[in-house]
Amino acid sequence: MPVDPKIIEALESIVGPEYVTTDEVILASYVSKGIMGLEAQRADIVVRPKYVEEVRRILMLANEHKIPVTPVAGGLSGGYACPTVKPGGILLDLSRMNRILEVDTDARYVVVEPGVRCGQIWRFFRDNYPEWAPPIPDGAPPAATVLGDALERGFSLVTSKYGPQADLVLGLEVVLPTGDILRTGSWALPGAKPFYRWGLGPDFTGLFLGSQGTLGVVTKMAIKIVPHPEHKDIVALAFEDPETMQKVTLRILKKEVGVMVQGGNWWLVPTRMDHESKLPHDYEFWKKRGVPKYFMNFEIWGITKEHLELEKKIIDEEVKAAKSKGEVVDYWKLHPRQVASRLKKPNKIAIPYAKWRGAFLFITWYLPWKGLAEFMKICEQKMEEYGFAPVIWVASIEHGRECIGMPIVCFNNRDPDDIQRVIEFNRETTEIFLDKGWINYRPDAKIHAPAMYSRAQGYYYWLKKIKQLFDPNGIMHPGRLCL
Amino acid sequence: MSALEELKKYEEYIYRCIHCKTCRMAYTDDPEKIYPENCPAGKKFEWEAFYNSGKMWILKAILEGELDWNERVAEIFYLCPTCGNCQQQCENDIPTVEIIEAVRAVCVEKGLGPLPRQKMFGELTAKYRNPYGEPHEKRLDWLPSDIRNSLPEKADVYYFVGCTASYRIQNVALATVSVLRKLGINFTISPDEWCCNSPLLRTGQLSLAKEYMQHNIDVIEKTGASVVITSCAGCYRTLKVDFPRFVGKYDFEVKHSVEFIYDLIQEGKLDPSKFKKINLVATYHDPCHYGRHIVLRMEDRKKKEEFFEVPRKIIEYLGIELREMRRIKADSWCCGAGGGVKAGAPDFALETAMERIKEALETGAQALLSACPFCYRNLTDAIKAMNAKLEFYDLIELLDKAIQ
Repeated sequence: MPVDPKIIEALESIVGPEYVTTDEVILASYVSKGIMGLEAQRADIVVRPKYVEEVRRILMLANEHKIPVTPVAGGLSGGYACPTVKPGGILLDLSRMNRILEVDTDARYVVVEPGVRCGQIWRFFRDNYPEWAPPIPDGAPPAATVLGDALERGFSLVTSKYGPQADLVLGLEVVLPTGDILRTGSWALPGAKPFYRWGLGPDFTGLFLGSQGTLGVVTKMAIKIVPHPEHKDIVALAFEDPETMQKVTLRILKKEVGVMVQGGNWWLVPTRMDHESKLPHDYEFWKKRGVPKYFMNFEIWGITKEHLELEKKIIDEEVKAAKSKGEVVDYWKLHPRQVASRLKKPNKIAIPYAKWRGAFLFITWYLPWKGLAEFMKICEQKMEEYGFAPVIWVASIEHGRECIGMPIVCFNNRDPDDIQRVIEFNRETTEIFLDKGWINYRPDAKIHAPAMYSRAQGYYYWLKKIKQLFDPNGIMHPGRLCL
Repeated sequence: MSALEELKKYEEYIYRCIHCKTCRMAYTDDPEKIYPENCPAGKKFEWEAFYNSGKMWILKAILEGELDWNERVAEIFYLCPTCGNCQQQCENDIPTVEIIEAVRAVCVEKGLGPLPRQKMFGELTAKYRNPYGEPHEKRLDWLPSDIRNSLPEKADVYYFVGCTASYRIQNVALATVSVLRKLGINFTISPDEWCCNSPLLRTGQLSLAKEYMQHNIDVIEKTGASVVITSCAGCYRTLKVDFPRFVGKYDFEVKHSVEFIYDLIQEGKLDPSKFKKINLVATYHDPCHYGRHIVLRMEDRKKKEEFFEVPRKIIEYLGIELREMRRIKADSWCCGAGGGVKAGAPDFALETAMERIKEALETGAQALLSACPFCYRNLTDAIKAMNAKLEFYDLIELLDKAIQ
């Protein structure tokens, strides 16, 4: 949809003409479908602000003229990093806002702008604060942004210990569509540092975590950093079935061991190696190569060598106890290179699943840990029914208080039938999982959100009310939440 | 097969791009060395379209009929040195360099490319057998007449000089010949050598490729040489990778001059302890074409590691103190000259080289070393433009000093 030349001129006057484009080739370059969603539209105009004041003026302009705005930080969330509805409106590319503004190693936080990427902050901390770990997501590519991941309540490299990335957030600076700038937590008090999440009254921070930019544009985030000890290792356990994996792992997690505990089934191995036509699909082949049917990796950190050994000892005691009960569990002896690759941060482990069939979709669910085995079984069965390799990844959150489960649907994005099967698989499993009280993380606007909110209409009513309060003209994109 | 049909062969790979943007960071295996920027075009032009991930989604839009081929598409695909760093980083094995070159060929076929100055060197090559427009008969003028006149018709080794060393960076050619003579290598050079076609292949101008490659193969095979040495990384890549692709197998082995010397040492035919030591603190720039473009085609991790160690071992044998830059080996930041950029967008090429010079200066080295006359040109241009206190040497020049 052509943009009014007066609007283009006004945007150019805000950020400079070199940071505004309606060039159709550049607009096409921003489109993305896959990883997290299949829906995406081309924006009508891309604007790249550098400063908060520019963001404020852009939003006020858009609000006045009722132009849709989609903020994007790293732009990695598949189709949902793009406008999802027509007209595409303004794509607010925040990648130029990429400053690491403050590091406080006493109150232990870092303040970042939206465009700060994991690779960038990792380099910065290794060079300047090697004893501290920045809160980068585990598994997300190095080009993912810290702010985007935390805003999405994603995974950090220590999620199994501290909870979802959002639990590390101490405060936000948000530009609202009206042009107001809201700071949350202790930051709300002029002159105060962002040391205290719960701030001056009821918590506003949580409203924006998971809001996907539907309520305003988050321009700064204060987020916790954690000690980055020298001593690290991976202990990998092998299981024959998901039930035993669920039980034994939970016993270990209750001892609060591990910063990142994640695993899944053997299908995680071949599907990231090569095209499906080039590799055996039967487990016996992979078994001979030492791949367990089910496995759980415990990434453990120790302040000292002794500390690390203690964590290993706790795991070992639980393994021995399980064996004594007749449960089938063993160590998966990893090659030093496999250990090293699991310890690498930021890593690229979540990327190569496109090799198997050309594309993939991560469909993520939160559930109590005790639902893990059932979740895996349903996914495996349904994925096979729909003709997909049953690739399942699971991980512990906050020592197994809950679990994240994720079927990785490897599909051919050049085949409309395959795409349709992805949609149908997603629709059927969504109903099953919602029936069980499990929650979709990053809901799909076409499937998850309608199904979820139709069951939680009261909650949706209040979300809409809040949306109207912050964004009276409804210019912020509806996101996956359909807000 | 039309260029468009050729491009469609890559459709599966184009669709593999999940837009994860990992291709923009220098990061091979070791995140401790991660560097947040590896794409010269992305850094310079900033828009998503200039990064590889953006390019793949532009191509998807074209393949799905949502975008037409046009001059802007061509411009974006030409403003890239095809350094291959994006391909190096891609976990989904997208052959980005091949795809970009295939797109450029389509652009040429559709009359949208190459960039004006690149078109000129296509025409010059057709007329003069070199992209510089220098008289073909003067190709060996750099060589002292006594040596030129004594070149044998038959030899064990053929030195493929290349156009840049023949006409512009002649000190590299002279040093190579000097080293070969000191080592008593039975080598020859032909005055009838033509451009290897690298600049044309990189810019989608494929009409001369087969004829020129076959001509050069005939010239080489006529000498009976079993080994071909290049002192130019671009020629090396083209002979090693592109010649077989376009004209099939040939009956000789291609080695870079540095690799050739290294192999002599490994075979016990050359004793590096007898080298005159070079008193220098230096850093080394891995040329894309004698580095990433080669290892990208290797499966074996150990062989990749060994490949990058070859110039570093030579530096060690020379007694030079090596101070590495941050982006090295497979993650090396491009000098900026490749992919037709030096000719097509010289300011962009120079800016890219200046970034490399800054990185070299950060090491505290007094000299920057490399092994490619084209990198030589662009990096020394940047040193001059920055008035930087940094010497530059091709490794073969230092070997010439060291070998008695």
